[in-house]
Amino acid sequence: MSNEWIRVAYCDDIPLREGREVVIGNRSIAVFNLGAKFLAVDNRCPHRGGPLADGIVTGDNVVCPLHGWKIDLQHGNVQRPAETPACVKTFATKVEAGMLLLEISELASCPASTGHAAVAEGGSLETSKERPCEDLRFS
Amino acid sequence: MEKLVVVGNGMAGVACVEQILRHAPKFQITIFGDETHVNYNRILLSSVLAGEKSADDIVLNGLEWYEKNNIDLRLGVRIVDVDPIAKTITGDDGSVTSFDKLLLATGSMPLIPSIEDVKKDGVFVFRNLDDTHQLLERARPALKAVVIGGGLLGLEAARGLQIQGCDVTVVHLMETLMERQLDPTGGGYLATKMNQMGITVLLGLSTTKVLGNGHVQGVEFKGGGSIPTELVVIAAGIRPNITLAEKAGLEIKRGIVVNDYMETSHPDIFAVGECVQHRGVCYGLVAPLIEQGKVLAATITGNKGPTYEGTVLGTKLKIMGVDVFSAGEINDKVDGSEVIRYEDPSLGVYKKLTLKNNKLSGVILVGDTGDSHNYMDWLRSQKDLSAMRRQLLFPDSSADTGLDVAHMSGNETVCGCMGVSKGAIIQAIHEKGVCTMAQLKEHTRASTGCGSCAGLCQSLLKAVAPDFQEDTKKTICKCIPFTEDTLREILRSQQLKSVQEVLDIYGNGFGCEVCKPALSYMLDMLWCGDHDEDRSTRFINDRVHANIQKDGTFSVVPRIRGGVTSPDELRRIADVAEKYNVRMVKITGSQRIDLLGVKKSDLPKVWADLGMPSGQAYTKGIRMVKTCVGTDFCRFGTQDSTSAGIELERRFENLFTPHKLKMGVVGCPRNCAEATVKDIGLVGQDGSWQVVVGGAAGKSVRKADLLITVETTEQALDAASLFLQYYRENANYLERTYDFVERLGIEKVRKETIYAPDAMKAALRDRLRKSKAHSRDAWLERDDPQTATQFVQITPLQEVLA
Ligand SMILES: Cc1cc2nc3c(=O)[nH]c(=O)nc-3n(C[C@H](O)[C@H](O)[C@H](O)COP(=O)(O)OP(=O)(O)OC[C@H]3O[C@@H](n4cnc5c(N)ncnc54)[C@H](O)[C@@H]3O)c2cc1C
Ligand code: HEM
Ligand code: SF4
Ligand code: FES
Repeated sequence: MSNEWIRVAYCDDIPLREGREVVIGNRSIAVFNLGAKFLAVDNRCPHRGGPLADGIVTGDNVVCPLHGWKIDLQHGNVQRPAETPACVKTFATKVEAGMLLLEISELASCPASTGHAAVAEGGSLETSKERPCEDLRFS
Repeated sequence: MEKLVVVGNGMAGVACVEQILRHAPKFQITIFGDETHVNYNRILLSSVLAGEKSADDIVLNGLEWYEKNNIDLRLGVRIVDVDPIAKTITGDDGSVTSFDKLLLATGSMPLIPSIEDVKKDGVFVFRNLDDTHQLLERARPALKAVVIGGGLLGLEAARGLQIQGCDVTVVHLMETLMERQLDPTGGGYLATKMNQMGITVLLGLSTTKVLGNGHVQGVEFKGGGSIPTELVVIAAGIRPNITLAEKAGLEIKRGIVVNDYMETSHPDIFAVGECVQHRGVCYGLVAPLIEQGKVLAATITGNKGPTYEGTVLGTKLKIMGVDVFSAGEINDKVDGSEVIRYEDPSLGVYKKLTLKNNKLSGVILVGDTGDSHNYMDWLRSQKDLSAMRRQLLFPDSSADTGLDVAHMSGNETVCGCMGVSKGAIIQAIHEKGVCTMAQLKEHTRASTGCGSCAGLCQSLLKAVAPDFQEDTKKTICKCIPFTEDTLREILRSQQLKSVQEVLDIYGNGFGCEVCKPALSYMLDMLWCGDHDEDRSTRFINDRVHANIQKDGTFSVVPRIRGGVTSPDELRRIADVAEKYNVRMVKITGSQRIDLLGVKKSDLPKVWADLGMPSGQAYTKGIRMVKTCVGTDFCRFGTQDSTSAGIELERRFENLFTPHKLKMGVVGCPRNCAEATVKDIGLVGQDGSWQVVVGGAAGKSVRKADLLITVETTEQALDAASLFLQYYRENANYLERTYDFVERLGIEKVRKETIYAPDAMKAALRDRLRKSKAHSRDAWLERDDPQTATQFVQITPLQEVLA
């Protein structure tokens, strides 16, 4: 279960306060340039799978372009609608030599449902389509 | 009846008369005022200068109030003499009036520091409505202005002039702005904020001379330096008006000396307001004057008993977007005082509390004044704070705005200026049936001072009044506390050209998905491309010029003007649909063709292969013109609707609008292309066109209103242009024409478009032309992307092994 840092993009290619989709294997990750930092989450809204990379950034959150769910990019939890027990996976980021690196680990944090961590365990980059929170269907 | 004569028709005098009228009728009242206006709210002169209010908006008591209360009002008469023995006063018109009781409420006048040549044309003070009107007359864009004095009044004057477009410098004698209310750190934060707004602040400079011959050309400082300027405002403090008291032989020091019953040294002469000195203090704010007035009203009507014991002052700077609050002791070097501070330079927030024996003795807030009511209450009540030491700087971090009215006690003050408690407001709601802000103001006077308690009053009404009616204007969202009208004015006058800049200066620094696109629209509309087009503030549709679908793919609708296409175009569309595996090809409701299910990364290629311009189906902009076949083919046709429609589309295409804008042109009233339910429609008739606006056939259905009937196609296109630009400039973001026309009324729309004075019409056409000249087909970004990754999905730089 090694964590791996992957060089994904030149920082300059991610415009300030915008998101971009990065495809690693068959996983789609949304990376955001928030000026002082870069944040990365799974590019899939917990509501109906909207592309979070295409959302408008507000502070450290992004608003999904499909139906306006608001996701905290720092921790991955849903801010709006309030008290929605769903979240997206977050990924650690760092910048080296003008390049953005992501840490792809199988145990990426999901505060709202730590119980789901087991699902993610054993997942490789291919099998990581399993999103810990997706089972929390809300309707 | 006894004769009560009041000198001074200002805030304190009239407020005291209001109180006197609440006691049993006892007096026949005469009020003299040397200003020529009825009683108005002096505090709000800053808002008048800033263009947020008109002179009429700030009237406190109109003529009918004086009439109703049988008050003899003598405006424009200055009282020049008092005879305390004969009990008469003399006016500058020669009139002599006798009194039984005299009330001096003469306020104060601006203090003019000794500056050489200060009488030059172009030097002003800022005290009354006439001063304000003069300043407004002089102020114009790019005029250089200097405000001498960096206190509350000076800063508000500076901001007002700046909003009028002036290039403003504040020159302050001290090293700290508002040094009577702020410590050096707080003053520093304030200076930064003023600088960010584009106001230059010069500290520690003593102005010695006004330069120029006849008219002001500059000011010179001690030590020799100087700066050029065409206008000077002196706001260096005030001095109580005591000449009359001197003549009456009253005891005076800096002001007219009064005791706790508000009596002067003469048994029949009383004084109230800024002209008095009580327990050694002369006040310069409204709150104490109102308290004094209540006490004086009791004393003068023979109900002597209540006493005035001084006021704990809280000062708020009234500049939108610059939050400053200060109250109590600001000197933290007093023995035994403890200081609790918090600061965040990038947010521009500074908070300092000074405690003594666990009780609040002073507070300074810059950048975040949401909790000022709380602190004011702690100061007044001298509550013991030991139990809440951990939450002092963030008393209720969960609450969104300021303090929760539910947690306030009944005797806690809501309106600091007029001294109205929560209990008094609730009483008015229950007993007088108050349910709007306007009624609340009338019955309690709450929120008629500086207006900063309006939010609290509003929440109280909302919570308590059963028939609460909102009567305030709407802001876009919580990020930026202004109405859209005000925002447009701010952007224009401040020459703001980037959304982030606007949010940094006037908002919370972040913005959200609601205000960012709205601000982007405003900037584009105002500056016609000469602005910082920041795509991060745009909805995804406007970043990639296509309409996002539920699965994250996009739809592509090329422009087919007037719904008229050709075999060649249709062939290309068919080829594209096949080449890119378009999931569905659909004829839309607006005579166009939609290619659904295109991947973002394919968009530029699709556009290139189509070789057609963007139909703007994804944006808040000009959509299409739906046309019928008209005279060319139709046997009923009376006008050539097809070519008129194509021309209309050509003239407006690529422009952005507050909400989507759909048009229709039909050749006769049979209305085959449904022009009467479009935002703009042209309906052909024999020999004329009807131009109709504000129609809808969506979630709402509304028949368009007739704007005008004209003879030629060119006239019809012109009327449509006037309406379009008027809508672009005046509608709120996301307000469709049918809401806009309904809100304003078609009469007003007509008056300000087709029936406007020629100069206004020319200006509307001109601005539309300018916008049009700067607009372009968004799909050209296929060859010239905004950013290297505009349409690209990023693949990692390094190879990733599974
Ligand atoms: C621009 C501005 C902003 C302000 N902002 C605030 C604020 O935010 N908060 C706050 O609490 N206070 C504020 N103030 C101060 C507040 O307006 C005053 O404290 C208040 O108006 C004083 O009331 P007054 O009745 O004592 O004096 P005034 O309102 O000045 O009334 C005195 C009146 O008497 C008239 N008068 C004087 N002598 C004679 C005479 N001999 N014969 C006839 N008439 C005479 C004067 O012309 C004047 O009309 C502000 C003041 C200004 C100018
Ligand atoms: C801000 C609040 C919300 C908005 C604006 C919103 C909006 C929408 C919209 C527009 C759709 C249709 C999606 C489509 O067809 O593409 C949808 C579907 C759905 N929403 Fe929401 N929604 C919200 C909150 C919620 C919440 C709180 C839940 C569950 C707890 C939820 C569960 C669902 C589900 C299960 C569907 C799919 C329904 C179906 O496929 O028939 N939504 N929502
Ligand atoms: S609206 Fe009139 S002119 Fe146009 S197609 Fe219909 S009937 Fe013919
Ligand atoms: S898919 Fe993100 S809000 Fe619906």
